[in-house]
Amino acid sequence: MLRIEHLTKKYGDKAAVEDLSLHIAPGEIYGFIGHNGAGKTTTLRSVAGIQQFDEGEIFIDGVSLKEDALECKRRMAYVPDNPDLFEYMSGIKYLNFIADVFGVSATDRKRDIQDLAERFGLAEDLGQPISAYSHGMKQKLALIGALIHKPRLILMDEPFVGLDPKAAHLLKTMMRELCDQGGAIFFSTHVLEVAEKLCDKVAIIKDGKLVRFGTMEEVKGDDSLEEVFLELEAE
Amino acid sequence: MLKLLIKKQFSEMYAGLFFDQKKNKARTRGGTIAMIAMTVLLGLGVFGVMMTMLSNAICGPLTQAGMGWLYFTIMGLMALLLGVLGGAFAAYTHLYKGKDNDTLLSLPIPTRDIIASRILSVYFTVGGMVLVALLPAVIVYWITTGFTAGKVICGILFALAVSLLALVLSCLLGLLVARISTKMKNKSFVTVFISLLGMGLYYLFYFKFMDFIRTLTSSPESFARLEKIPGLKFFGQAGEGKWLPLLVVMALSLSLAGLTLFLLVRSFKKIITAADSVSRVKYKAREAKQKAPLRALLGKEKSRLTTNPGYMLNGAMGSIFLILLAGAALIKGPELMAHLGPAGGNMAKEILVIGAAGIIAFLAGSNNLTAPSVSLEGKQLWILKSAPVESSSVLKAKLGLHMIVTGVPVLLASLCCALVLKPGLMGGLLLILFPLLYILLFGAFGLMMGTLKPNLNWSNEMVPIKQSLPSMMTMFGGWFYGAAIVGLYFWVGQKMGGYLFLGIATLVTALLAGAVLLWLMTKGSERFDAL
Repeated sequence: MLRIEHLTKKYGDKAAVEDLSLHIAPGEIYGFIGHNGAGKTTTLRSVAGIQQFDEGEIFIDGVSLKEDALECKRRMAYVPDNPDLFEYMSGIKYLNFIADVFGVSATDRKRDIQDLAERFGLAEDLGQPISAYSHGMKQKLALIGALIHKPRLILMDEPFVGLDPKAAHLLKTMMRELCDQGGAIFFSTHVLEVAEKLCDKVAIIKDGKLVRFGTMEEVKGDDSLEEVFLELEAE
Repeated sequence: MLKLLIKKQFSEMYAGLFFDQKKNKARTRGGTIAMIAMTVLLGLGVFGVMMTMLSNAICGPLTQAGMGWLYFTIMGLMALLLGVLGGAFAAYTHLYKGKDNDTLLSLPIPTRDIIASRILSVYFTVGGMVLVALLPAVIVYWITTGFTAGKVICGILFALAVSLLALVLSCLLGLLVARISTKMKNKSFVTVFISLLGMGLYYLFYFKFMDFIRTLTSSPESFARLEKIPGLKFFGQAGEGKWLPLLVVMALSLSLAGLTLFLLVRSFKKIITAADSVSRVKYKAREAKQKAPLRALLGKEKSRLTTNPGYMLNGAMGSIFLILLAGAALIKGPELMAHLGPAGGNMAKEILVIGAAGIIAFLAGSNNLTAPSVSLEGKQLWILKSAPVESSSVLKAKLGLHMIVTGVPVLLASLCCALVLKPGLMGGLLLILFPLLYILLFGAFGLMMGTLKPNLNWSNEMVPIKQSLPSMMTMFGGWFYGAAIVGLYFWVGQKMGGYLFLGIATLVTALLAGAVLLWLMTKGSERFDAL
């Protein structure tokens, strides 16, 4: 589903991500952990086609991001760590805009927006301007926006920040549902307990380089993910 | 604390002068000086030259007649007009709409310092306009009447006093707009309406006053009456170098500025934390029509414009003037044409067509929607960049909005002028084509500048709208281009025939527009991808 080959992204002379390779198969929830500034967001933004990278290749379902960025973007969705949305729009206007650029039909979008908004408890607030939303409401709206075109791959940067417990639980359920239907999820998090419970695979990044990756069992063995992470950080 | 806030405010406003976003590093000292020189030159180049010419024309006769005070009254009021024009639309957004309101209020910073730093930011726009208008007048006065230390000090202090008065008027209008808009639904349109109403009343008063002065100065015996108008002579004498009037004007402007600061500080928290007084309405699901991506992008640009009063007032004012021009042409045009009669023949008609095309282009040139458009994406740029749309489509939508908002009023004004002037097929075609191509050229040019020099890290949207290099270069560049065409007409155009000249100007404008559009669709899209 997602193949990252030798990804390198530099800011000036400093490499934010260096020679990173990772494969994510359909049906997998892949956790991405690392300290602040380790290169998680840079990797996710590169895969989402938001920022250009210096070396390497990224393939979504075998399609090269460099050669056909639009086709890759049609198959995935990205949810940033800080949901900066078009504050001059109402929630429904934003969702209709996203549905338009992803080519979602009028009938499908009406059904899916209503369904997702009700599940996230946002249905009654969709007419309000986004500028009046709380952080958590914006996060929910960003998630609905990411889900309405039924992407095969979802990239999420710290998706649980700002969500209330009910919404966080719902998101976990939906992540699993999407992967059970053949989709894949690649997300970063600092909440190691969530990663440990939710992820099929996990990758740990340190100073722009992958230091460990594989199935949860391969990465943590008999220890907790937190212990492994702290041990790697201390090295 | 105030110093820190001012530093923050100015580093944001003029980040482009000191930091190269493309290279992600600070500019060299030479680069910074070159950028500042270019910015100052652009500002001084247009208004400075105009005001110097005007000052030169009236300073000698008035000072020789012992009416130096009248010279300063006229120039001072003109500078005041320019200052309020430059600052009034920006004041509301500058003072109240900062994205860092919550952050600043949560820090141990006195409200007085927050508002003072923002007032200073407004002052930079207002003061800049006043000084560009008034300093040439003061310098011409020194040259005409001779330098003395007293005159130099008085001239500078007078310019400062006028700039403070312009600041006070701008800030009070900003406060009025803020007060009213907190209680209203459709805040953006209410804000725009109040601002326009305020400006309209101000201009009405101003022009009536100037008319009044003109009437009085038309006969020598009227001077005595003019001198009796309370405060008028006193105000002018302050610029002339009389110490007592100067001290009074300075004291008055400083007191008014202090009072304004007090009023703004007192109401600041209440205004920016005012809850939405409009009741929340539960959303009821309904089916929305599916739009093509380009139409969706255009709709997004339209939403941004119609929900942002600062953007509307600073970026689309020309459209209102164009509609007014269309109305004036239909109402007053036939009368004017009857007055001119057939005396001038074809030559006069050609001049009128070129004049009308020039005025329409000039008014349309004050619309500046595309230059700040890329910067206004700010931190929301990720949405467009992660969506499956070509960068060229994003740029097309931005230019498309400019063409709709400016092009329709241009077409209306051109058609109305054509109806009145009856210039024949060729003249009518040129009257419509030249302004349309002109707005296409400068819409595309603004977008090019905005793509080359974006500022995505603003905390107040007025920074990219009003105080950015792309906005300044586009507006002044458009005016400079128009002035160059007028100059060329008087130099060579009259000899070759008006329509032939306008035809060539239209063709050159079309070619330039084509070149900029080609850049936008190729290199410009690549630049956007790399942001």
